[in-house]
Amino acid sequence: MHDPIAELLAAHFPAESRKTLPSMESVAMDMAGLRRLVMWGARLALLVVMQQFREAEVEMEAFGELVNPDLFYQYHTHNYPDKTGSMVPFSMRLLHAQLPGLTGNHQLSLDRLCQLQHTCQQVLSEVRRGYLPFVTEPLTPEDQQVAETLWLERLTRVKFCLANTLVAMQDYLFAVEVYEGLLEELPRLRSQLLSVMGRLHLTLGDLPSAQTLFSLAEDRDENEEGEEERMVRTHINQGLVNVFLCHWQLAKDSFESALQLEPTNTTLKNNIAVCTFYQGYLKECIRELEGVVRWSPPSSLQPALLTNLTATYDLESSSAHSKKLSFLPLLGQHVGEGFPLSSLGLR
Amino acid sequence: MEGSVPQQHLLGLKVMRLTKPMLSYAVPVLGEPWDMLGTTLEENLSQDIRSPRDLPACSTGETLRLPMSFGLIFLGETFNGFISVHNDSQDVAKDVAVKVELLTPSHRHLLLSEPPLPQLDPSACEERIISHEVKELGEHSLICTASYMVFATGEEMLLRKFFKFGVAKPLDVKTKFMNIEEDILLEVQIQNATPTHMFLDTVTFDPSAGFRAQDLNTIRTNNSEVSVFGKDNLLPPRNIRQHLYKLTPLGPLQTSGVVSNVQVGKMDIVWRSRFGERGRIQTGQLKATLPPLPQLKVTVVESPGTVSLERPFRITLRVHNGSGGPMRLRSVLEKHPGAGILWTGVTGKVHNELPAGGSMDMVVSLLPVLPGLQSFSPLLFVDVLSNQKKYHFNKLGQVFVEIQPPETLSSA
Repeated sequence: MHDPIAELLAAHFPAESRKTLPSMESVAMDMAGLRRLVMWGARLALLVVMQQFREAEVEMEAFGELVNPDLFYQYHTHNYPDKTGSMVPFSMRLLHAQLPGLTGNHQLSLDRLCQLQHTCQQVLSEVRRGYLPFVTEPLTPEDQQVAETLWLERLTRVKFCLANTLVAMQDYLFAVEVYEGLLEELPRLRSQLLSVMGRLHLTLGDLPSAQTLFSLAEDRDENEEGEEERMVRTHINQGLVNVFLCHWQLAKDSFESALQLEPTNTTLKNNIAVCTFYQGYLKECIRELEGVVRWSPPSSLQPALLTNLTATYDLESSSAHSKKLSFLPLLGQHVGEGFPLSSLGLR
Repeated sequence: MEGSVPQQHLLGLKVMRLTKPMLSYAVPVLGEPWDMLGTTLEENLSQDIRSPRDLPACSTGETLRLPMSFGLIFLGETFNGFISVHNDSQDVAKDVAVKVELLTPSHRHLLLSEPPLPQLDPSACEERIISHEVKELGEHSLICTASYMVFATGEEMLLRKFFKFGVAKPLDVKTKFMNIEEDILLEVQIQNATPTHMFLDTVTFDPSAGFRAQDLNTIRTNNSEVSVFGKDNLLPPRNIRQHLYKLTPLGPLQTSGVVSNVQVGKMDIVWRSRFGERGRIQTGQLKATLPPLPQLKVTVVESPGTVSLERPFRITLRVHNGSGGPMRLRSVLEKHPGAGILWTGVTGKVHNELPAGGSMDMVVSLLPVLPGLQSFSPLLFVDVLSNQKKYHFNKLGQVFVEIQPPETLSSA
């Protein structure tokens, strides 16, 4: 990645007036340079957010399997005399496990995630006995409570990553099983989990199971969410079932009912436009999608919307290319570096 | 999906296959609140509509995506397409007539043919949806023709585009037949030949006119019927499912000898795949080979299941004459060395004449001499009328021989 502004400045300002500021090139990519592991974790996370999976993977490789001695506090006793344990932030471990899957090696991701799940469970049972790993003094009851909550949450996050990897491998049934396992641990997210499971069954072609799950998701019991949120979810699920059955107008009606409850919901507007397309109204669909995209940038500048819009442009005319280019000024004005320009479909 | 026609046309033709939409997919990268990035990652993810807003850690969203590629199409599915005719020039086109035909290996189908549009202005676009249930394998060609007149010059133009796609086989069906007396057991193996899961909506067997079929794929409990496959109707890619049917002929099919290539019926399979893509195929007539009918059939119609050692018992045999003519049988009660059950009674007895198709019952006495599960000794029938033709029966049946404890005698 080069810095065009720096180049311009260097070209136009005389050498004497230049100050040496730290730039990307001047920071060493090692512990001395980035000083703390948390900074590395942040850098790697940002690389992934910007879809630079290969770069992130290459830089992560330097850390091996995150068990090297120099990643532990005990190794740096001169800096951290009293601390013990690993310096690797948990989020970085999770990223380390997810990365292979993002570049196609799903099996390695699964292995790492299972390993991480096992570790979390071990720590959790230690905590429940009243101790933290590497620490000899027992935990106080308050600390134990906090630690237990923390590690339960971390275990849950690992399970979500597992399910995501399975979906990427198209092993939808196994992913549904993982979500099913989470139902007990996360009663507050019961409707949401049942809805995801239903969506995965629709992807498989299994309508009866999807409908059973969606109707279970409509039940009120432990959810703390409002009535409105529940209604919106019910309408969306019903809309997806109608899409499955090719009942485009009914699907539109369902999404529109949800839109009345949440008028700014961009997903709903997108789905309504997609149904319009399947009904055969190309120009109408384009009008609706353009309306959504230009309505309130930057939040409405969504890759998902642009991908759909550019597919319709390709169908509508031979001047699709110039229409796609017309979005560039808007994008340049509002979006950051991580925006996937591939969603514009420019060849 | 475009053909290329190197001509300066006013109009353009585009076709897009309407495969079902897909759900959006996000890459959730989340941190913990005390991490360096704090809650920035969460906020960033919550803005992206590809991620489900109520479950940020999950990658499967609720936003629909239009299909990005043609994908695969299989026999039995429906080809749905979106065709658009657009005027990319500055001139007006008049009398625009669009025709869409599908050329399959053996047919030419007309999918769209409407009266010509009087006019298509610059930048205008007309769209239609075409649909065709795919009934043939192999290469299919979609031929789209637009004929129009350039208003400015009066020149008649013809724009033609070709789109080719192949149709593959979705299922591999194999059959196995097994004959049990007069009935035929049919096992149908269905294998999913597509790369995605299939949800089997219905799998039925339609018997042909000469047969009655019984579906043996359900388990009947007290008040309900449950499929043997359980609740799971999904067939993963490359997996096989076996369905079993019992076919009973509705009338005599054969007098004697082997009959080949008897049409027993066909399979009708309806399935759904990704997001509701529906498919249906019917196999051709399945053909079975029937074995020759037995000329003489002997079955045990009455027999105890358990008998006591060294206590004689009786069984009733039914002898059926399946040949074309009358029989006069002489029964020979054979003895096998080491047999556990011996015949008692008269051997070599000649019975009354048995007409063709008739049956007679025979009561025979037996004596068990060995304990445990024992088979009856062999039986031989000799037909006096037909040149001493012999019919040997080795495996008539079995009984279980118990050892009774000695009776307690009343005090003498």
